[in-house]
Amino acid sequence: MARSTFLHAADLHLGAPLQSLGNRLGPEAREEALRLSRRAFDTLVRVAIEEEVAFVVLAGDVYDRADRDPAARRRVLLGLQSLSDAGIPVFIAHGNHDPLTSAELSGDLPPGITVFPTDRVAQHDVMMPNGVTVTVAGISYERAEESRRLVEAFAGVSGSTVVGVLHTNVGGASAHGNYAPSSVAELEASPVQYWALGHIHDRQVHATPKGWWAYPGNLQGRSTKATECGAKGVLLVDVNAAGSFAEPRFVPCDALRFERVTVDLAPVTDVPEVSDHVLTAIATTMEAADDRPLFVRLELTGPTPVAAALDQSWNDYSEGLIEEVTAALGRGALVKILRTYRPAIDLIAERRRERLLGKVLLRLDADPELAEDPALRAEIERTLVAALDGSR
Amino acid sequence: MKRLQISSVADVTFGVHRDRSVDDLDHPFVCVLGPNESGKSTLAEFLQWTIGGTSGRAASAERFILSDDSRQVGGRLLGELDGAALEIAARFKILKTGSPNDGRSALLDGVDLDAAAISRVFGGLVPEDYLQIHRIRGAELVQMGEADGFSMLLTSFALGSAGSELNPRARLGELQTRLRAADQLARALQRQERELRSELAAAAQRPADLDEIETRISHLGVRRRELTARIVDLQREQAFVDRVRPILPARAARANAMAELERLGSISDVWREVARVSGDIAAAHAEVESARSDVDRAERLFEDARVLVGLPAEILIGTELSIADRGELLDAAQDCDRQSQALADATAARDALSRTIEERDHEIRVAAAGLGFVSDPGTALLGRENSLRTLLTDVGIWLNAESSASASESVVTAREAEIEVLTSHAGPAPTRSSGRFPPGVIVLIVGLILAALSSLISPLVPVPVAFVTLLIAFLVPTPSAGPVAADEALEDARRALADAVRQATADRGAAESRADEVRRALDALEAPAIPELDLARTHVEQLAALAAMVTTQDSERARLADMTSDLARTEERATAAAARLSELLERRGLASSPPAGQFTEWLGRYESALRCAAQLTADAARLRRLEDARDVLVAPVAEQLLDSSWPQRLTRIDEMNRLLTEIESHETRRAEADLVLKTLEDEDDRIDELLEEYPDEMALRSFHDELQQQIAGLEEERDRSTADVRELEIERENLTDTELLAGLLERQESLAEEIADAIRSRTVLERSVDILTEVIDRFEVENQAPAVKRTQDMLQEVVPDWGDIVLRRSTDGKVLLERRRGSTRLVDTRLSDGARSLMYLAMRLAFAADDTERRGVALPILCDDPLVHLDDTRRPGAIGLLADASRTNQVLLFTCDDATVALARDNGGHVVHL
Repeated sequence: MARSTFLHAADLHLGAPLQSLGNRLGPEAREEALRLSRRAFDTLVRVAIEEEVAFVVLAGDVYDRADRDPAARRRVLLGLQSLSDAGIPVFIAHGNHDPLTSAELSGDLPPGITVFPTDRVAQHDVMMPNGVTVTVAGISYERAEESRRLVEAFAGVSGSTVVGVLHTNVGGASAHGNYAPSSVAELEASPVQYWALGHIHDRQVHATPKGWWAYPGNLQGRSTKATECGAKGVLLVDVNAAGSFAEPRFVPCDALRFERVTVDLAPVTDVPEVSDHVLTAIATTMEAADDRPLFVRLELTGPTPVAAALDQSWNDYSEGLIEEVTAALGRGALVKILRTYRPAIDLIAERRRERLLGKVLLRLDADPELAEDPALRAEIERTLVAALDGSR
Repeated sequence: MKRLQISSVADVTFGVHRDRSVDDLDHPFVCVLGPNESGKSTLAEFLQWTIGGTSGRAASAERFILSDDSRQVGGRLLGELDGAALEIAARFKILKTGSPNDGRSALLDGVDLDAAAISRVFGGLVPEDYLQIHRIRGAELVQMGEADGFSMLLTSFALGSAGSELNPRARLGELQTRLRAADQLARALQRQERELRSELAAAAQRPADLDEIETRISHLGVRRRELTARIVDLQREQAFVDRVRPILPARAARANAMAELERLGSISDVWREVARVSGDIAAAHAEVESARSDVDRAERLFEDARVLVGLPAEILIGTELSIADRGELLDAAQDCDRQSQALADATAARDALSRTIEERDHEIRVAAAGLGFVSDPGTALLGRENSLRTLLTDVGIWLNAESSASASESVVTAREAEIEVLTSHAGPAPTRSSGRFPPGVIVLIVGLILAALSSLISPLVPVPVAFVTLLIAFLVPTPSAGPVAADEALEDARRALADAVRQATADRGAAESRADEVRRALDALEAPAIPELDLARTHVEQLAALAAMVTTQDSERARLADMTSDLARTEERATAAAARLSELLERRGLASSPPAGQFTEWLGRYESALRCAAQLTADAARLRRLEDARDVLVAPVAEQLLDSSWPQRLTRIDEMNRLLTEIESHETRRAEADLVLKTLEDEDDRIDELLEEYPDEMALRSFHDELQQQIAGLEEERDRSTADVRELEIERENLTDTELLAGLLERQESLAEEIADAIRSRTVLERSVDILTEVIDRFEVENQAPAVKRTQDMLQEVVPDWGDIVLRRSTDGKVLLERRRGSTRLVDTRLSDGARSLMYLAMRLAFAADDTERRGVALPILCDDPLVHLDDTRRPGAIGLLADASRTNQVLLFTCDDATVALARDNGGHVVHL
């Protein structure tokens, strides 16, 4: 019997370019990476068909740009056609990147593809194979900087098993545009049992008394920003015979993966050991990436006795390290190396000494501006500690 | 606070010193006085190494070694450290590179210390610290401010070790350099971003551009279609003109052809037929002429060959000589020659033999006559050669017997003579010889023997030999034997005679017997008898030779008979061979055969003649065929050409051919024109309309060209449209390539991130530089000013109007010391040498004091002529500073200046002479 499952995806950002592959990737490899990144949506369609989902919800930012990249639109239409041919309905809510500003997207769509309007919450019933009727309700952005609290429009949705599709910033997270803001309380208070949300690129699944609210995250990472790193894909949600929703399960769809690899150099006693530690970390990450090309931001961190020696020999040493890492990454690439390690000096004890370094640390401690920017303070501290490292 | 005070040094082998000891150093302020080159500075260096350890590069340490063989230097230092006895045994090995090896050891209050322990005891003293702080060289004081280490000394004092490499100002400089680089990078990246933005703007414009391009492509398409239609119409018009154009010339051509045909008249069919093949006729005639030449040549060759072979033509013509026939003839001729030759040879041989036999017959006859044969000795002597040879032996025997008999008879004669002698000499009897035989007898005997032997040589020899023997025997005196012996001798002689007679008789008988044998043998041979004894041997030999000749002759005759028989057979064969050859030749009609030995040559000529005959026959036949072929070609008009020669005929035929060609040409033109007219005139009414408007060829051509120009113009316009469309399509394709946009956006994102990183880095570095600058400035003020103040206090004690010393930085961060006295401000480099030296001396002593406080150990201060740049006014003050310092640290002042020593003594200094 076909499964009573639906697929929840969001933030496809089709047409969006990859952001920063670094400057070590050759033009052919770069083109290949760009090509691969466009495959994620094809994978989504394949997963939907293979899993025999009952329907698909896309919670906003299907396109990356409001003017719709024709190539992206072509890919979307082809994918929607495939889903339509498979008899899988698709429900689309538009978000801040692709507000529903014209009728273009609501026309010329294959049968079974529904775009939620901008002026109200529309709802549609879908009969699941297990006999449960799921109500799929949603609303689209009419402008990029949507400020309406669209969550409130779901108050009138009827149905016993409701999926709400909304592109929103729950809790007003500052790192993301605060469009169509909503709160957890509002989500829980509405008649919706499963909130299929979009906008936040980090995957999150939260239980509520009625069900879940979840961000599947974006479909394909595009840079080494923290929110773009890690496995990306979709959520599959089973609908029980009782009409409730099981915990969403993640299925990766990304064709290439961005990761941040941090290597603590504290145990390193000799510069040549650094590459061993790095390669071990890279290998572990690659294994988890399941044969996908990996684009890595490598951070060397920690208080380490080899800080001065590493700094002094960095120009030469880094060439060899980059070569080794690049070779290990194969089809992937090393996007950036961050050096946040510092000399293994007891900075607390140093503050008590009547030496210049101690005076510098005390000076940093007393700076009110830096107190408000810990990251900047940490970088300045690292710079000055390295500069005044007596072992250099 | 501990204090190290040196009391003495011993066993110093260092530089110029060899096992040098210097006592009496146990005073707070010691002034070591010594002339130049006495080793004062060397001793100070030894003290510095011993207390502080080794430092410096190999080049400067080399001067302290004795020689290359002994690079070990050292000595002992004795003193007290805070009351405890201290002895430092210094052993240094000066290496060719790097710092000398430090082999110090010490005994401090009974405790053994190594170099590291010594350093620790002295408060973690490192060589650079002791050198920089506690060793003051007067010569360097005046330039101390320009020394690389001075600023570092001032600054790094704050970090606790003058020997440390860390210079915060240098690190600050590095940060500032990095800041400048980060700033440049950020600016460069921002420039790139601006350029990229332009590219993106252009890329973003694409959708609108696309619409415009589509519209233009569409318009151009419509225009192209219109142009194509118009071009097609014009081309049809032009094609019609092209079809019509030939009518006028066709009509003209037809009229022209008719006129010409009328002018040329007609030509009969037979002549047409012949004229058409005029070329063939000419060719055939040429071949006939050629064949005729061939026949003439063949006839000449044949005649020559025939004459050479000497045969009539009728025999040669039509005759063939096959290879088999040739072989047969040749074989027969060769056989004939062989047989003739054999016959000639046999005949010659027989004739030669016959002559030989005749000659020999004559010789036999002569020899036989010479031997006494009266008849032909042939029968008697034939085969008797051997017998006669054997008879020669008998003859030899006989001759020997004759000789013996002669000899015996000679002996008888001799005996008789002897008797006669004996008898005639009756007187005293002849004496007997003393020997058995008298000498004459001996001679006689010997002579007889010789005569017998000589008969073997020749039967004539014994006689003369016997005669001579007898003569000698008579002449040899016989020794008288006395009268008794003479009778005996006579008796003996008689007896000897008797013996000799008997012997002679016997011998003669034997000889006679042999002679009879010989004669009988000769008789048996019917041979003439031997004429003389002396010729017996010769006679018999000649008989033997004659017998041999007779035998030989008989054999030759037999051979001659055989040869005669062979000759007859040979003759028969030769005759047969000749007959066969003749027969073969007769078959060919050849009556005679060539001379013997010349047949092969003749046969060659015969063959050649036959070939020439065959060639002639063939050429003649070919000539006839060609003539026939030629005649066939002209047969239709043969009667008309009957009276003409062949050159005339050919000329006539050629004329007819030209006429025919011309007629046919015009007929063809007429037919072509008829065809064109038939095709065109029946087809279209428009033709008349067109020809009415363009009545002649020129007008039509002009109209055609006009149409062509219009078509060309329209095609050109259409081509331009096509090109425009193509360009627009390419532009459209480029614009629809949105992947370019994705690449640009990716680049933009990368660049934004790089810019953010660069700006971040710049911000971090900016803040770091600001903070570090602030802290260093404050730190220096807080930590260095006391030293400067101390220096200032020290100076003001000795030079009350010295003024203030202020520490400040140059724009490039260089440490500057400034003297301020009233309104006068002078940086240290602008001070006089003396003032500067004094200030630096005070500063060094202030550093030493600071170091002492930090270290907790007051180490001796070593001064090498520190007052060298000071004048008399400042010297007392300087000595005062040193004396003051000696209250804390032992001060050892090394000098060669008596005035300095006096000042030192005045300030409590203890003088030690070196």
